[in-house]
Amino acid sequence: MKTTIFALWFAAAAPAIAAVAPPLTASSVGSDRIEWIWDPVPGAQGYKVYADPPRGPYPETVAATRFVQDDLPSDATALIRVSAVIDGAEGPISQPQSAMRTLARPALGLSVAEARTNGATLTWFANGNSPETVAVVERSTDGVEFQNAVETTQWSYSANDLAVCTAYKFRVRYRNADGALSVSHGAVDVNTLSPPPSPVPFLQATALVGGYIKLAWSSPGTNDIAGYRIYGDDGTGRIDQETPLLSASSAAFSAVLGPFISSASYRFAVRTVSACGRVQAPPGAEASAPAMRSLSGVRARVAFPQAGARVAGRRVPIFAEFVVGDAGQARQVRFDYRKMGANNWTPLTPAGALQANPVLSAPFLVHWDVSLFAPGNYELRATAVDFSGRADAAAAAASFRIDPSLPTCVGENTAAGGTMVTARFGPDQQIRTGAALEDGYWAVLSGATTSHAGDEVFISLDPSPSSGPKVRVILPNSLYADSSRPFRLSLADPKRIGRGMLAGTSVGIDRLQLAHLDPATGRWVELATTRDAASRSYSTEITVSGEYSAVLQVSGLDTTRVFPNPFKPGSAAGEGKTFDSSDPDSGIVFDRLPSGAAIEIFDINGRALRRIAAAAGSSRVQWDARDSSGRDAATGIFLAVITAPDGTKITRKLLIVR
Amino acid sequence: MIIGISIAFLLFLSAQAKGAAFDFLGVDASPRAAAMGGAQTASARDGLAVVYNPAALGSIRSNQVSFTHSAHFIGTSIDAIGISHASGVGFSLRRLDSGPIARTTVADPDGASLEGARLNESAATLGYGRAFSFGPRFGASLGLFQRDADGQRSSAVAADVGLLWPNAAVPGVDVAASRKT
Repeated sequence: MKTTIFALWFAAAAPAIAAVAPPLTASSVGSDRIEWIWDPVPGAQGYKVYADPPRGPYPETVAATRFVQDDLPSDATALIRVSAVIDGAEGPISQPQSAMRTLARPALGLSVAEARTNGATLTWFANGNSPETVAVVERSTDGVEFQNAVETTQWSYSANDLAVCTAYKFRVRYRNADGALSVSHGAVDVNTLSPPPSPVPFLQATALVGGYIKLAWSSPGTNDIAGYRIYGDDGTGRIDQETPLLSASSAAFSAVLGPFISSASYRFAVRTVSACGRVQAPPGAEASAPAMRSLSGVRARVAFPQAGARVAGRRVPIFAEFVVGDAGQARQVRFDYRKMGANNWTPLTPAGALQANPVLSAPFLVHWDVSLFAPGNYELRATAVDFSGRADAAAAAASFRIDPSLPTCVGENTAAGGTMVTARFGPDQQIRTGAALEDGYWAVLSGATTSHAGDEVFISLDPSPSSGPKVRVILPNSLYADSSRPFRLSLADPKRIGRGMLAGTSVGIDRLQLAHLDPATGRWVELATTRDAASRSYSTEITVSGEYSAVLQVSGLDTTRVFPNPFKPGSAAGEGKTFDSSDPDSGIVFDRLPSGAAIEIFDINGRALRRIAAAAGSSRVQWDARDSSGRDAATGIFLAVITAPDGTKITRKLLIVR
Repeated sequence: MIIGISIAFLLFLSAQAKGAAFDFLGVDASPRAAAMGGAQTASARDGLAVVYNPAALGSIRSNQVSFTHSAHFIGTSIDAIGISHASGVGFSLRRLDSGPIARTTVADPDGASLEGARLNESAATLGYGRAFSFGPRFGASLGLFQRDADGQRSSAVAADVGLLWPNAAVPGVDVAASRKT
């Protein structure tokens, strides 16, 4: 009995153990572990941890107020309850509280699949995360501040809104069901590219004395070029596109390379470098030139006036250009002339007091007073002499004609003391009337070529029909900005027929205008054109380089054609075929008609023979050369009155010969 | 009443001229004829009377000379000169000039490089008319016609006979019938 009383006393005297007070704090959360901490209980020698899900012994006893719950599944919930232990006695277990969720697993293997000019494609592995787990792609330009780029359940991401030529960092983190982001295994670098550098449009290689080769190129015209890289073949025929011979700045447009020791031909390539260092892909612009220790000679030719030109005036420019070597290799160029058929050449006496012949430096240009010479055919030559004193022994002769009555080039003094060169087109110039340019304009000029030396511009007739109906005029604008140095473009006496109609049209020749092709709009702009009735010429003053032509603005019935005329049925081919409805060229053909045009045929007495209408949508009508009763129209003159739907009319005179 | 009868025969000398109409001969040669709409068979009185009815030459009381130039479409012109003598002899020359014609071919529909074409036609007519005491006038004429159609030449001759019978029974009323070439 006594013993029992003692025991009760002891029990009553034992101190009560306090419960671990929630909240328990997850001090660190990972994708497979949660570290819990709690406030200590006074006097506790240890704690029992009831983990859910359980791990190892349950409950597990720990000494510190910290428990790491590991080997957990990712993106899953877990919780613990804790009791304190004092002297072997366990206190109350802590109250339940909200479970914690592990993070999703971090993305693995993040890499850049492709970098583009304005984007990149990234790929990564999900690392065991479920397919529904959302990946957050973040990007940064400084590696510190990341912005959310996209959230996706895919394993790749293609960014298309990046700036060109810019460095980015990308990282990918997964979001668990509670929205918490996983850790990142690091960011990858993305360097967007620049657009492919524009190529140089022009590259020329020129051999210089001493085995040097000069390269000259022109700018692509874009502002994203940081420089140029020059590659060479070292005479092997194969350009080494890996190691540049030279890197040039964006301001450089030429380079002298060498000396090259062999006489082989050397090839070069120039590739552009973009602002962020992207080098144009091979091959780039290529050019080649021989390396010459000593040039074999220099040769010049008379470039202006062109062969066959008719010149007049007291100040005709005579200009030489080089066909072998260049101006830098010539000591002088001497101009000689002779009357056609004569044996001896005579040095030309320049018109200007300050000019000399031979000419010692570029431009190799003199002015010549041809008014002192009798009209007729002459020859000119330009003899070049190199620095060794060797003269070209076979300078080519260019024939021309001094012709004050009908010159194609007139060189005269101006009041300001300069020279005014007037280039005249025609009258033997081929007139093209079938070349429709655009917007109803028809060109009436065939081509011409121009060249210039120093401060003068030359424009010459070009007999090649392939050069087209336009004239390209290149003016040194810096010089022609001065109005005292006008340049006149003129068209002399274009071909016409009848009452001043331009051949092939019903357009009066007085409607002809000189025009300039506006490069900005691609449209022809008529220029103020002066018509000189006496010389039947048309002229204008121009101040800018560009494409020029003489144009007619046509519309409606202006270009309607009637053929063949005369109509000779049954005669030689081309002069008339008896009408056959299956032959579109038989009978008398009216074409280029406006849709719905009507044609009335009258004889010399004014009697109406026939009325024909063009079918809707058709621009062509055939007349069988018969009257409305089916009788053949007799030999004679007939009048065709062609009426457009808008009421405008034209008349054409027809001749039938049977 | 006046009855005028003109009978014409046009004989072509050149086979190449077959089908040729010399339409310009139908164009009124004199201003008077033009003003009267060409009704001259019974009333031709001027220098170009031989053109309309050689019988009218028998009514000419004083010498007549006529010149005409008429411009037609697009450079085409017709010129005529006629002489009617009081003796009854008449002569006329008429000429058509087409002016330049823009030549085109099937191969060159623009014809920019082709020379122009032209048509020239001319007619010379000599006639005589005489009045008889019992009233009627008889006349005859002979015409020579030539054509150059773009280098293709042809010729023809024609003969006309005419009758004109003034009838004083109904003064002021003229009746005429004619056949023209």
